[in-house]
Amino acid sequence: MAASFSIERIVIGFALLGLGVLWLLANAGRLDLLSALRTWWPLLLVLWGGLELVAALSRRPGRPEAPK
Amino acid sequence: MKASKIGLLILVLGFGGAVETAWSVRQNIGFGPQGCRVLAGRFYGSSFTFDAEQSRPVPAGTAIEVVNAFGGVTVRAGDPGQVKIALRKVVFRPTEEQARAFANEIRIDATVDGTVLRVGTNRDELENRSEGREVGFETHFELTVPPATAVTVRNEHGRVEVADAARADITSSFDEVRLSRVSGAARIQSRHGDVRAFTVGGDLSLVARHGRVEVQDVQGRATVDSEHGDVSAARTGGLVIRASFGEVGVEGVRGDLEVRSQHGPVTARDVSGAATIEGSFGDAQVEKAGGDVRITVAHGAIDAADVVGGVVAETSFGDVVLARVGGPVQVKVAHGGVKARALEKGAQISASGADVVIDGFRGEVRVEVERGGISLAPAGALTDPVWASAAQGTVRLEVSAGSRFVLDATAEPGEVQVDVPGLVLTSTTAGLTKGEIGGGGSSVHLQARHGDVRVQAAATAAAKNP
Repeated sequence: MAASFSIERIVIGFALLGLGVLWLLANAGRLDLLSALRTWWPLLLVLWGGLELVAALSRRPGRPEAPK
Repeated sequence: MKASKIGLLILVLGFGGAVETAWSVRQNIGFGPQGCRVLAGRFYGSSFTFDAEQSRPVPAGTAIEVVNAFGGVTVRAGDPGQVKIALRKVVFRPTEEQARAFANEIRIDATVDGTVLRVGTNRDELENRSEGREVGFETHFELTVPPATAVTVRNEHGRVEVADAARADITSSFDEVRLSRVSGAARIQSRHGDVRAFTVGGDLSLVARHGRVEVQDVQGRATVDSEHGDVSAARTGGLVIRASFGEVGVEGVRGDLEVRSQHGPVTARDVSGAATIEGSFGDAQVEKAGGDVRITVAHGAIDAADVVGGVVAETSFGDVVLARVGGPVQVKVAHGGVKARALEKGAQISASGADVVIDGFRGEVRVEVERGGISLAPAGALTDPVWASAAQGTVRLEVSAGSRFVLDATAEPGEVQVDVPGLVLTSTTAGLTKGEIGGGGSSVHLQARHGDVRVQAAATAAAKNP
């Protein structure tokens, strides 16, 4: 099965994954959810920016564009 | 850029903004047994207390000046020749070690400048450092000074208490001020805090905003300027009060009283001199005044009793009640009536909208009423001139035995009724009656427009109007 690929979906996936893990740890009493979210949410922007850079580099002239 | 990217960007930034807002709200608002409170600022969380002391020998006559912020200042009299300074430092830090490290940097600054010992802390220096701006710390001073020391205090965000000083000059904000047993003059300026000044040997000057003022036992002249707070003064010398948005209560003034008040009632008792009250939107009451009383009120009632001198009263939208006034009375009321008892030197009264009743008067009386009646009962035999005119009301006059006057009564439209033994009518026409009693004397002119005139013997009137 050929799955479609997009940066947005990867960002959303990581966001949901991170949110779920943090929430789970908070419910388990391992961390303060609000404090952790406040500390780590900019990581989403970092991750997204990194993926955009990788995608842009992979679309250099002479190289075929990755299927979406 | 694709719409999906823009949408996701907005979503991520919105999520981040929501998280930051929630974090900020949680940091600054506390929910607990006492309800919800805002906890902004540095003075929040665990705190630790540390003490420091210093003692300074000072020559006699050295004045003390204390400058402080975020902490109380207490100054009391102690042994002669030395000043003891106790500083309690309260530092808001998560651990005692951190608090102690910071507290060790808080110093007592005590320097002699001429004949003044200046006491303070190095707060400014600490707050100019990056750590100092983040750390909340309180500095509470307790000073023991030689007896009869002149004391000056400049404080913010802390209670100030000065006792047993020669003179006192206090400037404070955001907490209470208490001054007691000052042998000389005292000056207090306070914002956002109650002020209490007890037993001042000299003059007192007090300016207060947003706080209650209580003054007792001032030997000299007292001046109080207050806004947004009640004022209470007892046993003072001459007293001047300017107040707004609060009640004024005065008792026991040795001298003249002057009150200018807005949006609050005024009550004054036992004033040995004259009393002058100007007010608005509140009632004014004076009881026992040794001099003249002058009261001007807008939108309020006036009540004056046991006044040795005369009374001048002017008001609107309220009644005037007078009792036992030794001097002449002048009253002007718009939209209100007058009730007076025992006026010894006559009255001149103008009123509208309600009745004027004078029970027991001597001297010349002149009354004019619009939309109300007049009822006059002299204290004894009527021999002084009376002039009374009422529109849309009845004019009543009681005549006691031994009275001597010439009557001139008109009622148009209306009826003149005369029922006084010994009063001889010399002319009676429709609405106009003339006569005299006791062989004549002063002129008694009674006039009613759209009302009756009734002249009755005192006993008859008492029986008819018990």
